[in-house]
Amino acid sequence: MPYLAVIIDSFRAALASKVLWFAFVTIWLLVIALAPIGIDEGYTTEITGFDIYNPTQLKYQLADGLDSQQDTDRAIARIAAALPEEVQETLGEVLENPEKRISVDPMRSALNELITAEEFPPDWHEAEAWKSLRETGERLLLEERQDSLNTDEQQRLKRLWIESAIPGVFAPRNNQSAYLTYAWLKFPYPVPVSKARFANLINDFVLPLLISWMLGFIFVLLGIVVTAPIIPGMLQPGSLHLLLSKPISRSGLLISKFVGGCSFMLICVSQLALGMFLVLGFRLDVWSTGLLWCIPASLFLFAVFYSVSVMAGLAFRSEVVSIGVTCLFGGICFVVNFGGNIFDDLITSPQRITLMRAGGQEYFAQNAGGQLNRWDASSKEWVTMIATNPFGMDLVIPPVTVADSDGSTRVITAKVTNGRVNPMAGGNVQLQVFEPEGWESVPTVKLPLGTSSLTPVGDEYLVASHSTGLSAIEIEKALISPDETARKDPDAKKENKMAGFFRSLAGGGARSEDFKVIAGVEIQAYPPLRLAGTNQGNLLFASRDRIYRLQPRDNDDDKDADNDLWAITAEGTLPGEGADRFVWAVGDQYLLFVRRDQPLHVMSLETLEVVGEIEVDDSFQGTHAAAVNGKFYVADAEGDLYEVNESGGQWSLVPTSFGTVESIVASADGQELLVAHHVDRVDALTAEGRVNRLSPQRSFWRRINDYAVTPLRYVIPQTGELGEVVGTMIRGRSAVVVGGNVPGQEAVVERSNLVRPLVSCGGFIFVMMAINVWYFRSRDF
Amino acid sequence: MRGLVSAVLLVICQTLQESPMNHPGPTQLDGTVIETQDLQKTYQARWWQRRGRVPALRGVTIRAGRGQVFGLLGPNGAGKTTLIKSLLGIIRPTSGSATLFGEPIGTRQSRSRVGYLPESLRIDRHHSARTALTYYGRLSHMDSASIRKRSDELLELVGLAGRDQESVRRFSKGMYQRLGLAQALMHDPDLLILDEPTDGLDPVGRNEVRQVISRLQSLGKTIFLNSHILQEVELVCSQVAILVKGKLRALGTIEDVTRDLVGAAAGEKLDTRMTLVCDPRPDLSHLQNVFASEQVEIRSAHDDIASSVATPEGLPRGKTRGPDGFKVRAFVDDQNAIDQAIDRIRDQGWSIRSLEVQQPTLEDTFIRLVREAEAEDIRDADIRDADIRDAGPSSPQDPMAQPSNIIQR
Repeated sequence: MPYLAVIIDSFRAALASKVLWFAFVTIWLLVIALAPIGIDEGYTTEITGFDIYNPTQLKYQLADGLDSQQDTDRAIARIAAALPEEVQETLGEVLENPEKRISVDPMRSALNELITAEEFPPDWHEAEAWKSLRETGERLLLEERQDSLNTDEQQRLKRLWIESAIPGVFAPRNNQSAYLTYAWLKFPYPVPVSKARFANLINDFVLPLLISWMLGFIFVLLGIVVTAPIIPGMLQPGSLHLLLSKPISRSGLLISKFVGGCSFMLICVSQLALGMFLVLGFRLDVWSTGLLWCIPASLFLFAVFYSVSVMAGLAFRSEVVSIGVTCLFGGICFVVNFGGNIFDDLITSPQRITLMRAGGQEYFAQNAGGQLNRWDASSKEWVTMIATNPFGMDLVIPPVTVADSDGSTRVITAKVTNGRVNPMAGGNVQLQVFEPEGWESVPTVKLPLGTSSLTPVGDEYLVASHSTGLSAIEIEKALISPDETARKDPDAKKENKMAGFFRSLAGGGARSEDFKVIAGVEIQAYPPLRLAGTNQGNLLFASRDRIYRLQPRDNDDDKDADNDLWAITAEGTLPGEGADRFVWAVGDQYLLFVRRDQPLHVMSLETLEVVGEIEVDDSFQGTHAAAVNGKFYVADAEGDLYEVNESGGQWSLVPTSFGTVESIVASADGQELLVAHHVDRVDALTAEGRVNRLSPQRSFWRRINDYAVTPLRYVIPQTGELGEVVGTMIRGRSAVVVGGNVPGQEAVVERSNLVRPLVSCGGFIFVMMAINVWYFRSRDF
Repeated sequence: MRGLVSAVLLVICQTLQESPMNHPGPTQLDGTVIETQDLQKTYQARWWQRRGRVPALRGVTIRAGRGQVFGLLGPNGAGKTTLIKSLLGIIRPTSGSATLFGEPIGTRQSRSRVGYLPESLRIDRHHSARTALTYYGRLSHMDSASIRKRSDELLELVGLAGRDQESVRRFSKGMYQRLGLAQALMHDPDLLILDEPTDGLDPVGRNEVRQVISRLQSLGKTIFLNSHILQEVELVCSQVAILVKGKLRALGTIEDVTRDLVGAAAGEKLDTRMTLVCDPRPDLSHLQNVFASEQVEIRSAHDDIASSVATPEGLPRGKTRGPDGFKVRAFVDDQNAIDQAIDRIRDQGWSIRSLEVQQPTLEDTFIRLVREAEAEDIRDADIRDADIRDAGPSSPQDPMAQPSNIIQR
C-alpha cells in the first residue's frame, strides 16, 4: 500500500505539471481537429496518375487508334477520335516518330474528360474484350441497368470501357474508391481503394506511422521533460530524508517513483489512443482495437528513456542534466537504429531470396534487390548472373529453367531497363539465355513489348505475358541466338518493319519476329496476373478474377495466323477482389489459389472450379505457394511454412518446422520442396524430412552485420523498432506485404522484428533499474 | 492564532494519550529507545573530489531512555545531522552499532515507530495539507480510516483545519513547520526525532512546541531533538549530548554537564562572589585567611571582577555590582568553606551585601567545549606535523579520537 501511494503521488505530481496540461490540450485539439474527417465511397471513375502503370503502351495504343480512325470497329479508334485536338496533334507526332516522348498527363486528362462528359457514347468498348473484362458481376450489373444508370454509374461504365479498349495500361484498382471528407468538404482526389481496404491501409501504414511519431518521439520528449524533476525533487534533503525515515524500502520507493513517472505516458497515450479510436470508429468506421495496444507498448518505450532519466537524476540530482543525458541517450539509440536499418536495407534485405528456380543440380535465385544469382557449389556462395542496383528501376524478368536435350539446364530471362516503372521502357528487349558452360548470357530472340513473365509449357513452348496478352515461342527457337536464326531463316529479319507497327502494338505487341500471339482479345492481361504450365502441357493463365486453361493448337497443317491462337479449354472465376494480389501453386489435379484477405481455395484443374476452401486467420498473408508430389505448400508473410492436407474432402493447413521462410519452390524433379530461409539459405523438405541444401558463405559486410551490428542492436535498446511493434499491434500482423500485383514484380515482405526490440528494451530497462536500485540503496543521501 | 495553536498543541498530547495507536513497544520494558555504540561515519570522497575522507562521527556512544527529551547540541558541521540520519537509516555508519527500540537501525521495524521532522522540510508543491498527511500516513502503513481520523484531528490541532485543501505552496514557514509536525505525529510514533523543530517559529510558537514536547514526554514518548537554541534545550531537555567535530564532548543531564565543567575548570573549587561592607577595608592576605584560599581578588563596589585572578581559561566572568563596600571573589573548596568564611566575616562585624556562588550555563559549557576542541585540533595538528617530520608519513592513530576530559563514561 505505501508503494501504491508513491505511485499515486507521482501520478499527481505529473498532473500538476503545466507541460502535461499543455500536452493534454494539444492532444484534444488534435483529436478535435481529426474528428470531422470522414470517408465516402464511390465508384472508381477518375483515372489518376497512379492508375497508369504502362504509359508507353497508352501512348502507342492511342496513337494507333488515331492512325486507324477509319476503322470504326475498333474501340480504340473511336476513343482516339473523341480526344481533344491538341492531344490528337501530340499523338500525331508520335505517329511520325514513335520514339517521341510525350507527357502522360494530357492523355490522362483527356480520358478523364471523356469519362466525365455528359454525353454517353455506348460504343466505346471492344465487344470481345469487354466480355472478358474483370469484375464480371459489375459489368453485367452495369450493362443490365445501362438505361437507368446515375451519373456515377455512367462514369464508371465509361471507365471500364476505356480500360477494356486500352488493355495493358492500367494498374489494378478496386471498383470502389474512398474519398476523404473533412466536415462538409470532400477531397478532390480519391484514395484508390475500397472503404474496407482503406481501413486496412489506415491500420497498416497511417496509424503505425502516426503513433510511432507521436508516441516514439513527441510524447517521449514531452514525458522526459515532465518527469525529469521527479527524481531530483525526491532527492531534495527535506523531501528524501522524510521519505527514507518512513518504514518503506528504498528499492520499493525508487521503483514506485519510476512506475509513477511512467504514469505520464499512460495519461497522455490513453487520451490520444482513446480519442483516435473513437474518431476512427465513428468517423471512418475503422474500429481498430489494436490501437489500444499502443498504450502498454508506448509505456514500455517510455520506460526505456525514463530509466535513463532516473539514473541521471540519481547521479546528478538535476532535472536539466537528466533531460540532457536522456536526449543524448535517445540520440545514441537513433544512431544505432539508423545504422542497423542501413545494414538491413543495403546489406541484408537485398540478398533475401524472393524467387527460386531449380534445374537439375543447379539452383538459381532472384533476390529482393532484383538480382539473379546462381549457386556455385565449389565456392559455396551465390554468384551473380544479372546484376541490378537494389534501388534501381531495372526489372529482371523472373527466370525459367528449361532442360536441354542433353539434360543440361538453361536459364531464360531478360533484363528490362527501367522496367519497374514502365514495362515498355526498354523497348523490345532480347531474351537472355544462360548456358551451363560458363553461365554467360547469350541474347536470343526479342521479347514482346512489355513482357513481364515467362513460363515453359511442356517441353515445347515458352509463353510470355506482356502488356496486351499472351505470346509463345517454341523453346527450341528461343534458345537460338539471332545470328543462328538469321542463318537458318535469312528472310526473317526482313519482315515486320514499320508496316503495321502501331497495329502490332495494339494487337499485343507480341507480333515480334518470333513470338506468336496465342490469345485473342477475349483474354486480356490485366494485372495482377500469373501464368503457369501444367503437367498436361496446358497453359494456365489468371488475370484479376478470371482464369483460363489454354491448349496449344496443332497447326502444323495450317499456317494461317489466326491458328496461332491456342484453344481455351476451360475458364472460370477466381475468388476475391480482382485487384488484389494472389499467388498460386499448380499441381497435378488441383490448383491452390491464395489471394489476399481471402480463404485459401483449392480449384480443380479440370473444371477450374473451387473444390475446397481453407479458412485462415486475418493475420495470414500467403506470399509463396508450391506443389510437390501432389501436395501443396504455402508460406506466409511472417515466414511460416504450412503444408496443405486433404482428408475426406476437407482441406487444412498444417504448420511445418520452417521459420523465416523467404521463398519456396519445387525441385527440378518435383520430388522435394526447396525452402529459402534466413535471407539466402536453402533447405529441402524431402520425404525423410528437412535437409540442408545450401549454406552460403556470408559476405564480409554480412559478417559485420551478424557479429557486430546485430549484437549491438540487442544491447542498445531499439526504440525505433518498438514503434514498429506498436504498428504491428495496431494492424495485428507483424509483416507487411508491399506490391506483388504488378506483373514481373514479386511482393516484398517487410517483417517487423518483434523479439529484438522487446528483448533489447526489456533487458535494458531491467539492467538500468537494477543499477538504479543498487545505487539508491547503497548511496548515502 | 497563537492562542489557538497553543491550545491545540496542548490537546495533541491528550489526543495522543487517547489514541489506540499509542502502544508500548517490547523494548520499552527495559527503557532504552536509542542506543549507539562507538558509532562512526566517514564520508568517502568521489574520485573527482579533492576533499578526501571526511570523518563525520568519531565513535559516538549515547543512550536515550523512554520518556526522555534528548537534546543534541553542536556547532555547524559537528555531525548532528549525520547522527540523526544514521539513526533513521538514511546513511550507513562506517562502524559501530546502533539500535532503535532494540532493532538495528536501517530496518523498517526500527523506523516504524519513529516520527521525523526534518530541518528543511520539503513537501511537494502539488500537495495540500490533507493530501500530504494522507500520503505520509500511507507511507507509515496506516489504513484509510485511521488516516482520515488522524488527519482531521491533527489538522485541527495544528491550526490548519480551515486551510487543509489549500496548496502548500501558499503556506508560510510557520504553517509548513506545523504541517511537518503533524505528519511526524501521524502514526503516533513512540520516538520523535525533531531536527530544529522551532526553526522559523516566533517566540510564541516556540513556546507552544516546548509545551507539546513536555506533554509528549509526560506520555512516555521519547523526543530526540537537535537545536541551535541552547536556552530552549535547557528548558525542555532532560538529557543533552554535545557533539563537536564528530566527537561526543559531553553527555548527561544539564546539571551533570555544567557541573563537570565547573569541576574541570577550577579544580573542584567554587567560584564565590561577595559584596562586603566594612571599614577599614581589609587587605588581601586578611581576606585569604578569611576564605582559607589563596585565590582571592578584591575590587571596588563599582568595578567588575576582573581577570587578574588566575582563573582557568574560559571561565565566565561574574557581573556583581554594589553601591558601597567592595567585592571579593574567592575560589573555595566546597560549601563548608563558604559557610566558615561567612562565620568569620560575621565574627569580624562585616556586612554581607550579596553572596553568589557562580554556576556556569549550558552555553558556557558549549562554548568552552567548542574552544577546547579547536585547541585540540591545533595541538593535534602540531603533533601530526612533528610526527611526520620525525617518523615519516604514516600515522595510524587518529589524534581526534583522544578521550575527552569532560565526557563522563
